[in-house]
Amino acid sequence: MDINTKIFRDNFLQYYRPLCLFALHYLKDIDDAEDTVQDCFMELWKRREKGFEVSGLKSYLYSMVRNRCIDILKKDSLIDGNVQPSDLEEILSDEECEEWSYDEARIWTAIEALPEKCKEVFLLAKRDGMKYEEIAVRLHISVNTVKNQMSKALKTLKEGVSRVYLFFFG
Amino acid sequence: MKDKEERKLQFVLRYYENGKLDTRKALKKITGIAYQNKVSGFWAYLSGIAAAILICVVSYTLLSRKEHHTVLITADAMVTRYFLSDSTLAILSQGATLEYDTDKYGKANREVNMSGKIYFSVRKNALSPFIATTEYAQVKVLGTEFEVTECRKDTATRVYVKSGKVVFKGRYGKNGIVLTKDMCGMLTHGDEMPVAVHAVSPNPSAWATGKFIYRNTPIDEVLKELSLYYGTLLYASEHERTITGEFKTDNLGEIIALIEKTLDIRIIQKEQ
Repeated sequence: MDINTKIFRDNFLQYYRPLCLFALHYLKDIDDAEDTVQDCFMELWKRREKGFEVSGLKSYLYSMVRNRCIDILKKDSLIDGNVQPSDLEEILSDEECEEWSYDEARIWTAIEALPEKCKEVFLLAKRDGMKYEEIAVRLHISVNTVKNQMSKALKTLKEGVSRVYLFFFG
Repeated sequence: MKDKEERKLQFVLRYYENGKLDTRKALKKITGIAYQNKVSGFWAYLSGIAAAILICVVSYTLLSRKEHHTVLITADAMVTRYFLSDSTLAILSQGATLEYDTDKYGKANREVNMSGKIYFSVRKNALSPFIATTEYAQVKVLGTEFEVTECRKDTATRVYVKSGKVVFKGRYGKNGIVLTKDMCGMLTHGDEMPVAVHAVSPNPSAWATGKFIYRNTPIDEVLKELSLYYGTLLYASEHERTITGEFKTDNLGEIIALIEKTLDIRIIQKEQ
């Protein structure tokens, strides 16, 4: 199978972002997560080139990424051999983590698709925990504009996340 | 948004950065690398032909042999953790062996052969049951955590289920029994059907999970389990008490100190 075929591209576009978020639950580092998922796709491509056929690609990829994350974490940690994925609050089961990664990829895609100004306000408020007044000062806009941008962002996200999503997370 | 949705959003926000997780950029990156590999791989292939021919000649006799794709894992010296290709975890106690066909496992089936004591945490897959076969017995599951013990010196095979559901039967028997969470089954060698039995202790798989978990467990039962596990004799100054809690298995002294402090009792230890 050639790496430039449509099938490979489609698989990549469909699974890359959810897999990265899945890996992020283990590794807690965005660059490490991306590297890990890319390595897995490269490995998969090599195996396929050698004539190795994979049935159930999605679960195969998730298993590959999970095993690789565990290997990385075990190499780094000599003490605690018990590797489990988690979100910001608690440990998740592998099934939950896999399921969540799809929703999280959708949220990521929805945030990415926000209008530039709207996204900036939303991230400063929600990610960086800044107050509306502080955002207004920083971006040289009125507090009312900040409020408007925030409600626009939340509305767009809610619609975007609850809608049936785009097939690809590109 | 609901609680779970909020948690997902918070998780995404914690790591969100512009330009990260860019699918198209990543695709371009790996297809580029793959192309380079392909070019260099081609030359490596050409230059390797001579060596390959040499190897072919030397191993001519070996080629006529049938190829084996069976993996055999043996835990010689200590407890060994092993992940199968479908992410199923097998923890082998000392002396246990696990064998499976790499060509078939995870594709055509999920079948393993084993001996000794092994704790399995099986990845759920409703379409492909996981089957562990010993010399005398067979255990079939969809996704669960359980332990199988069958040693040469034993006259029975034992199965303990930590979570989920398994079917336990004689190796060549048609019918078996269903065991669910915290249940034990025993097949006396020579019998057709296994029987459900009481678990010997509250945490039969502590050796594999590294944890003792107690929920309102009487102190005497706890000390009996700890005594067996550490090969010592433990007695409590009071007997009418119960324990709820989790302890790691790595330090008995710490467990004793914690119980003594929490329940305000004395625990006496005697070497066997």
